[in-house]
Amino acid sequence: MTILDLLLKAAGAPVARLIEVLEAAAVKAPDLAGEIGGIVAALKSAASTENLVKLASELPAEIANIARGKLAPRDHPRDLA
Amino acid sequence: MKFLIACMMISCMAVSAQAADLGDVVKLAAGVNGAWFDGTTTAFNADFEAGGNAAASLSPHLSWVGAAYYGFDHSYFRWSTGGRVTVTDTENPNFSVGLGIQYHGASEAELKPAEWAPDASFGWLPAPDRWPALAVIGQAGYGLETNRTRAILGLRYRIKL
Repeated sequence: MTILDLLLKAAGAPVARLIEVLEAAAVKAPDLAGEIGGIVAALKSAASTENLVKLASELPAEIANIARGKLAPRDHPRDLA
Repeated sequence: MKFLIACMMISCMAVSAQAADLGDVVKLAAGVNGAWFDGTTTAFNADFEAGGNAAASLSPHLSWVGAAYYGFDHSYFRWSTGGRVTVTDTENPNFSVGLGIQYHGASEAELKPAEWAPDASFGWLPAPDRWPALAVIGQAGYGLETNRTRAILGLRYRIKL
């Protein structure tokens, strides 16, 4: 399995399920529907095949840097999920 | 593939310890979740969980992540660990979406067997100026062995190192 295969698997059923849960939350909390709509749009856009193909081409260089001990950390709130 | 991922995680953890500023790499958080488990083999449909997360940001896109949570309604303990790739702007500290894979384990038969599950997640800081440590998160995963999905929505409070 390649990195792209893995990303495509994660972008399939998991993204669909997450969107389903968010849309159910928007129905129960209509005041948050705007914010939730923005998150759903970002999920759909991020999971597009074009975005993932581009991303998969950048990852081998990052993996090589990690293996060499060269870290470049970022502040990602999704790390806490 | 399991071997490759295990090697990657071990090397990730080893090199993260060498980082000049550990606080930039390692993140810890306490949190609460609403959790939903789907599928024909589980009697646990939904639960309320509390627990903690740990993560190591290793490159602009790649992180190692882990979590351990206790479900109050059905009295279970579950854990997960794996790798995650940021698929949105890596320079945005207030919102990001990640795709990855984690190995999930649990204390109760209804949530077993332990298995690998590709997942999608997001993290969002709703008020970064007022509450910079507070994040809203969501995640859904799909078990490769059981074909079950699991989803969580929750809050995280980041603990500064």
